[in-house]
Amino acid sequence: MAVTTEQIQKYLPSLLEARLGVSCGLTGCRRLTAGASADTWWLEAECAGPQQWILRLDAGAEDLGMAPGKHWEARAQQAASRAGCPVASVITILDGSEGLGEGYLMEALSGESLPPALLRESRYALARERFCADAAVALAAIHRTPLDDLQQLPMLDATAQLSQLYAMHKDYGESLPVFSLAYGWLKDHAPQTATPALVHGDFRLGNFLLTEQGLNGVLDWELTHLGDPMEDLGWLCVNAWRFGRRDKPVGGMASREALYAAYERASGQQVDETRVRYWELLGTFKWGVICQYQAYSFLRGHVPSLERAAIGRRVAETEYDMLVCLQELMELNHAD
Amino acid sequence: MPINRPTADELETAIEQYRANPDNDPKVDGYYRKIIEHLDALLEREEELGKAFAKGEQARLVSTAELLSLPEASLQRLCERFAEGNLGKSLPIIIEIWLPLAKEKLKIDNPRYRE
Repeated sequence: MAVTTEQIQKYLPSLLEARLGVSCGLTGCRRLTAGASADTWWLEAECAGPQQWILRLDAGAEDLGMAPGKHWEARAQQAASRAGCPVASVITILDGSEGLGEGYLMEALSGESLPPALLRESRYALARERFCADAAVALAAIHRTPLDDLQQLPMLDATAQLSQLYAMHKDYGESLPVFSLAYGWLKDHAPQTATPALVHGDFRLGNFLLTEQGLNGVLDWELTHLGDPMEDLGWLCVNAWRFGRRDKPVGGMASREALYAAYERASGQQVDETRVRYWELLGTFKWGVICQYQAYSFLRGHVPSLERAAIGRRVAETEYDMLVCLQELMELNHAD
Repeated sequence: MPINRPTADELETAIEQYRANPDNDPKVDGYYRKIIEHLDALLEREEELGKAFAKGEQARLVSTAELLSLPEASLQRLCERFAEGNLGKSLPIIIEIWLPLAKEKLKIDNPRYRE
């Protein structure tokens, strides 16, 4: 059951007063456009001065089956921040006993996240120019985050993700040869994760806050996990996040080579291009299954939304992209 | 690679259901009207191109079943074989066979996608 404005107004101020030791009063509270797996609120408050916060809750959210839960999402975000990744500061974590379900409160950062604005508006020209370097610095920080306090995050290597996604795909009951072809190849070529790292899990255009000066925050940690750091680089290059700029694989802004060079500079680690391309194919497969998930949430009567129905026909885009990815992988490495 | 769900009938029903109960917020309604416009155009293209697509799919099913020596040319059997992996030297040929069909499908679902 989703929480209401009244519930937030009832429980949050006293909770914050107890934890922060200062008087807190909410002056504004509105639900932001709901994401697929979080119930997100914009709050304004008087709490040792005027504050603008974001509240992310599990309550009412859909679960794609890969999320670690809001508690661990917040812990990962805090740990990545300490390692140097630009993220919002977490103010407090809710464990569910406070009346609002599991979630966390964080500062609201400034910036724009909408891809069309970031890709087209001239005022973001400098931010676009800096994007590759900024993204690489953020990724390097995430991937060097110490894991001592994050061992309870799920370990999701390629094999684990592939099994989970293929089971979802099979459950929909459609015989789609391209999905089966990609699955068979990905299964045969799944890389071993020698040294697991913290992985953001949804590092793509749409989940970045950019100011005119550059990257100001990495958002949406709901799919964070332990795994192969190359996954984040591959997911960033999935065609769906280029927003029509097919010739610029890195979020519609830059080339793969520019990203690899920037990441190597920032992390001191060599990029394995075949591995990144593997994850790009797996990411495209994942996006295809997510499109199916959304369509079937409509077809099975869970979410009666015309938008959900329409996204089912975007599966064709992912089928085309999977075949192109496979072809490029073969050209790259004479795979098979 | 059949046309994906929702089928044309399912989409038409979804559109009818929305029209019978539109959103009260003019901004939200405007957004859904754009989706309907997009889906109406998609359904028109499917009406025009759907049969030729299905024919092309059947031909590719038969040729791929022959290539892999499958006992029958069914989508289900083909998917099972593909999911087993280990396609060896057949993989580039399979991509060559199926990529043009993926492009044909995009002509129905999103003709501007490859631009």
